[in-house]
Amino acid sequence: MALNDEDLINDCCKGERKAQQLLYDKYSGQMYAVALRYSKMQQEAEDVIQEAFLKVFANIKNFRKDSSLVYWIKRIVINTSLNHQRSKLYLYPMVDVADLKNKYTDEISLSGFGYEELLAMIRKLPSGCQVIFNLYAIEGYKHHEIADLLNISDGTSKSQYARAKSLLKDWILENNKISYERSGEY
Amino acid sequence: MKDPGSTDSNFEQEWREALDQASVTPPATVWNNVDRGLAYAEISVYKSKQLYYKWAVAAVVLIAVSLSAFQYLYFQDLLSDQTARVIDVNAPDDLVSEKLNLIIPNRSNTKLNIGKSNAVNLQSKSEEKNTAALTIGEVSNIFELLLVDNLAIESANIQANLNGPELRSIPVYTSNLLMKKKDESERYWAGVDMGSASFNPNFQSDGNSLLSNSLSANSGAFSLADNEVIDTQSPSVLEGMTAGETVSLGVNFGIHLAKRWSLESGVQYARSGATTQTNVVIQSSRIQEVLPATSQAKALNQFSSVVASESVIEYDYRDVNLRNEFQFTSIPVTAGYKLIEGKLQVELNAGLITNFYMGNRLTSDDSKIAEVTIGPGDQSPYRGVSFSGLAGLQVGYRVMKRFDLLIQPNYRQGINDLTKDGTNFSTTPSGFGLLTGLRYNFN
Repeated sequence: MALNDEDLINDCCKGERKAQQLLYDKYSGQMYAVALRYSKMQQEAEDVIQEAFLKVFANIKNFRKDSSLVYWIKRIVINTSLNHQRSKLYLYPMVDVADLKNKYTDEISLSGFGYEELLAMIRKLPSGCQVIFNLYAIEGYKHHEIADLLNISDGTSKSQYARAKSLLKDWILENNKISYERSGEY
Repeated sequence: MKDPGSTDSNFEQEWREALDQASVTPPATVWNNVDRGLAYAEISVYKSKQLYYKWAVAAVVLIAVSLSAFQYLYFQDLLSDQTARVIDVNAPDDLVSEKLNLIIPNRSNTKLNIGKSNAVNLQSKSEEKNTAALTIGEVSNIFELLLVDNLAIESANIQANLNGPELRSIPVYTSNLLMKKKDESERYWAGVDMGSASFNPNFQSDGNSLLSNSLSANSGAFSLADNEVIDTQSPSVLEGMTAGETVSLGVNFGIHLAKRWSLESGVQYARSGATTQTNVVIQSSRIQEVLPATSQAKALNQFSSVVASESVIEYDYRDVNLRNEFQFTSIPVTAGYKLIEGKLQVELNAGLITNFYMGNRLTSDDSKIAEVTIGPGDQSPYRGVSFSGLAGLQVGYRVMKRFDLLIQPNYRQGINDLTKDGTNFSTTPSGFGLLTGLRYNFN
């Protein structure tokens, strides 16, 4: 049964389980990928998705159709992920990382890296760096928005992001080097 | 706008393109958990409804107790004062005088004044020591006479001057609403009613293992001993049944036995919903859907034969919520005691309900889960006949000449188990309810 978003929303508002499952089936894959980016463990991402979709179904009556449904659900998933991450962020408070000079002058390309490898790199970042990298680089938030969201200073957001970028570039180059050396063996 | 200090915006762009539209299918257990969460949310709605019923019942009981207490105190006061009652009536109105003389012969010194504004002044002369006291019956009769209808005067503005010490306890608030008696010839009534109530099955399970003796006693159903498809461990069945709602429709009839006592009976059809939960499903090659492992279905021969046969291929842990809808035909027999009579009636009811089980049906929104329908009979784990106690408060209002509108908050409690002896689970339903109805009174 293929229903458009509006029909799905209307049926979900009535509490129809079939429609809820259809909506889940339609968006859970995309949202699970988002949750995976913000988590360290798969179980954590599953918990986020479960909690987020329960929030979606509980609040779908309040969804205003002036934005897209996928964007609304994604915001719920990101907020739920941040709530899960906040405890860790408090455990390891984010402090300004000393200014990192851009040691890479050449453009670094991600070509040759698959989704799994890139995801693994993001999840390897320290918690604070991981969250800020996701919000800034992937979601497109500005630093002052991130600062408001996480209750940190703009400077902390910028320095954590610089740290994340530096680590990622290190790992990308390292992987490229290994690949290059392996290809040289033949 | 991005950080203006950024020198390599392609970096973010590449990451965004690589990850933003990615999609990874989550494990099936996530939806099962979401599904379960949604079911719990629905149950909490039922619980809040149940709370509403409780408050409604509590409010009406409080009002009834207050009215009863007032009524009791009023009669006590009247009884203690009866020898001192003296009413002088000197009615200027012939009609009133005539009527008064009929009620209270030989009391010519009783005075009743009807003023210009149709106010009625009932004056007592307590100083006249020789005047004989009126009985309670006489006082009541006088007040009936004073009602607007009986005086046949055009006024809704009757004021009784009851400042005299002998008359202080006569209820001036008593208007037609409370005092007007019903036609004495109305001895029987018949009516229709419909209601809604909470349905708490009070489910208790005796066993929690597919391999436990209690579960495998019947035809080896639910036993993994023969197949051991998963492993040799005994899978634990975590089964439950949570509260739902009952809706009912019925007809009733009754008889007034004495001044305040009545007896009522009728027939009601009721659908009671609950949610049955289990964590194990059984996959068989015989049927396409999976069978939810519930104690209710275990006793069914068809179910047992599927499970016990060689064709059973898999037991699986899976959280399943099933709508469990019972159907009953009930015959309530209740006795009523009227606390207040008149246009507004308040009556306490208590009695016994005989419930005839007509079957129940377990269904799921998931089309992959088989529906189970259980009917009455030997295979059913439920008794054909069970009994419940009922206590409630009925408030009625005369809306037309012979029609009463009724509302009855009540509480029902199962007296015996709904399940048969030897069944490995038991359920004794209870719940708060609200019944509304219309009654026609006749001779």
